[in-house]
Amino acid sequence: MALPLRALSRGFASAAKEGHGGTGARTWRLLTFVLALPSVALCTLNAYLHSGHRPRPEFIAYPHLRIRTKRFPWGDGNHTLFHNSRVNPLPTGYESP
Amino acid sequence: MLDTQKPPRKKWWTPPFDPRFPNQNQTRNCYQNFLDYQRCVKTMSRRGKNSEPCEYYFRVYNSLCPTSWVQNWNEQIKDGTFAGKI
Repeated sequence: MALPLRALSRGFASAAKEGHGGTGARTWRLLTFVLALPSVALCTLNAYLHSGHRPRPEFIAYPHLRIRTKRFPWGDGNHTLFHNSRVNPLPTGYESP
Repeated sequence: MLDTQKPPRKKWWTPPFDPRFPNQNQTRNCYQNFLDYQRCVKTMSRRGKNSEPCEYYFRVYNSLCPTSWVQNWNEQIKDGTFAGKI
């Protein structure tokens, strides 16, 4: 039981030791610039391409949604904290057309 | 067990055992039969058939469900705000 566990725990640390002559930091710097940051850039591009206004769902006054048993402690007590007038309806309906 | 006799036509019988809902909590039983009745009536009327076979579900949910629930749901169906799929 002990030996296989030790082999697993050596995984990432020993990869770092293999940076020839340098410290383990070289491996991670390489990974950051070659793998992580390009992935972030690709995901940003993907999000940008899929952005833009979509038709918002029609409002149906379901009684199990938008429940107001007690007013919210902020504002007029009827708007959620991150209320977005375009896509978040109030219990009575959308505010803006 | 008097299974050989048919249930009386004009009288309300106790809903029979439903193995889908074997335990003490019968809320889903009530709701399921209500939905089944609504769907049955909708399909039968769409096909132009008599909705008498749907009376079974009607009797079951009327026996099982609290009256206030049934009234609530019927109002919601009228207003178009019923959350179940019919």
